[in-house]
Amino acid sequence: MTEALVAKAPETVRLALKGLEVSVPGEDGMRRAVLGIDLEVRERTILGLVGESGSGKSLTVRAIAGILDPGVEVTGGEIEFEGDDLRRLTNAERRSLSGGKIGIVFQDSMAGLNPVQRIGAQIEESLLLHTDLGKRQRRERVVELLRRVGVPAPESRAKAYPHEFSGGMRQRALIAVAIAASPELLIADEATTALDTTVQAQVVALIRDLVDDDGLSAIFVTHDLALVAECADDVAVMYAGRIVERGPCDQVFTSPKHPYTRALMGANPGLGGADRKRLPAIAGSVPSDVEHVVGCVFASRCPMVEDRCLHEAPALREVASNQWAACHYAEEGGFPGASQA
Amino acid sequence: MPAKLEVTDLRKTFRVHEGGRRRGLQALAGVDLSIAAGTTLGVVGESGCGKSTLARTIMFLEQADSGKITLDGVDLLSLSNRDRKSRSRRIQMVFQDPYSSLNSRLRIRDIMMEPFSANPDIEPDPAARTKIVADLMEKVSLPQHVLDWYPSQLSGGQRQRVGIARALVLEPEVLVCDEAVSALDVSVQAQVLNLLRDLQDEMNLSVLFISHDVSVVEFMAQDITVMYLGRVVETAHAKEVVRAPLHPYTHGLLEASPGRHALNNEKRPRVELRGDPPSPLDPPSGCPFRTRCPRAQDLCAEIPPPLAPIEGVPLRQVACHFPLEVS
Repeated sequence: MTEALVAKAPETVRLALKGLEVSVPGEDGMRRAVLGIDLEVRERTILGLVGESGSGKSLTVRAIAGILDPGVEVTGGEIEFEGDDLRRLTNAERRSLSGGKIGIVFQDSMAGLNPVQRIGAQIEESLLLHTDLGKRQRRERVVELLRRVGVPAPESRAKAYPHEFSGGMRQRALIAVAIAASPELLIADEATTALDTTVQAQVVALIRDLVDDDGLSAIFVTHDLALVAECADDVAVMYAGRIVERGPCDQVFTSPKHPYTRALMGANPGLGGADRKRLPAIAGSVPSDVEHVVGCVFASRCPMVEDRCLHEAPALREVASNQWAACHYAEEGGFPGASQA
Repeated sequence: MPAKLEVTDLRKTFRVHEGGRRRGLQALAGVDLSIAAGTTLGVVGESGCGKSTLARTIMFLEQADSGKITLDGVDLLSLSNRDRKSRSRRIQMVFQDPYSSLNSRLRIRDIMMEPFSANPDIEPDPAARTKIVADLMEKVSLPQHVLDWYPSQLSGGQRQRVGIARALVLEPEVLVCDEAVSALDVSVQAQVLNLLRDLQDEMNLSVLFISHDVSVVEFMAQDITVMYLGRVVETAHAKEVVRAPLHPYTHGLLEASPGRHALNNEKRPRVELRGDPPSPLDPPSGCPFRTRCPRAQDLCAEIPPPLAPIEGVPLRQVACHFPLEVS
């Protein structure tokens, strides 16, 4: 009885975005590149944030981590992390959070590490900033962290320089830096994109272990829907600065409600497309001005487009249990007229 | 079916300096492959397996140390430079990076005309050249006015279409694509893959399609060759390789291909291959794969397994002392 109650306890939301807007400097003033998105990351889960280039997925996670480029600003909405709105924090509070409770790993492992500093020292720096450990304890923790992320012979490898590591090992070292201060949220921004698929699988499995065993939550940012289908609990699909569909992975992949999600799945040879004679490609490209779109943002490329889509923007709404989609015809699975047929 | 392009025991060693010592990096340690006319052979493998060196050697961008590159039965490596040039232009290449492979200071028209300037004897009539270029633009679905543009005005997908059109100017019979869609977004990648398949059908091209992405190769190719540390470890019809790989490395590579275990209960990719491939500067004794192989035995450290045909299965070859079962 009690067990059933515990199992059914509501899952805690670790991070919630409410109407997040990010603006980038343009030719005539700021223009919005992330246009009011809502998103939740649950405790001990991986959220796959998927989109093509220009979708705003990287801006979104950089806004969460507080590391937007100079000139790029959060211009609206809330970033709620464990109940606090991160936008209300002072700069100093914000800094201690980034790299402390929120760790982030990027694609380019060579740029993420200092080439003239030993790997161990770079991990230790994170411990120095975010923990009260003494020198000896820090050294021990560095070795422990390298072992945790699967670097063989961690005692001696801690003394190596980044160029002495392979790409996969550097990415592991970066994860060690990111989790050094025992964060609650780990963001991997295309962190495995440049790696071989064999090494990618190893790194993704490591992130899954960190989530399952150490209780982290993770946001896995990628352009590859096939990878998300393999490792994430929830998925959010971004297009032109908006979330067009989100929900539990199993549900979204077996029954996508937005034509863009369906098209992305079809275009991916890894998701059962390889047998086909032709891949169902998505015609055209993302609109260059994502801010001033009349009607549905995907209308210009949507194979299902109807007159209504050109005039009226569809709202992101819950169309099935926990599954949200922004298509006028989402209730019909993104096929206009499907319910009458 | 007769082979259009055949590569036999192709070898290439680079001289490198490491720690003050000169050493040999064996990028191609005797590669054999064959492409039937009008078909696509996919080459897969991790970075450092020699697949790009293979492409560059076939294109004569690198000089092979030894071996044969046979086009329609004629070994190009045995020809004089002049004879080779007139034959080897029947092999053309599409490069990976649509940003750096087009000269940013030239208009698309001039980029498309370049192959003619390099081969002035091919089509001396300027009007005919203009016609060929215009037709190719149509073939790759680019509007004619793009000819007046510079590469910077084009999207990544459009640039790769230009790269493909340029490779077709001299009417090649063999097209070498080295990671030709890797830099593109999924939706654009699908467009370019479809285009390549259409062009192949229309022009009866033989294609060598190199990629690290097994699922892309599976979509494109009839046959697949798997490379590891400069060697071929398995060759077979694509469907057979994917359905029942024989080499443990092929199996591991397939397992790691994203999407093969979509929506699994553990929510984690299967990890069969651990670590990275060993350095080609210091390859293991015996079988190059033995240091990562779950099936390795003592024999594997002693004797390198030869690439041998599998009885009763046409085309199929595997280099392993203890291959997986043929099912």
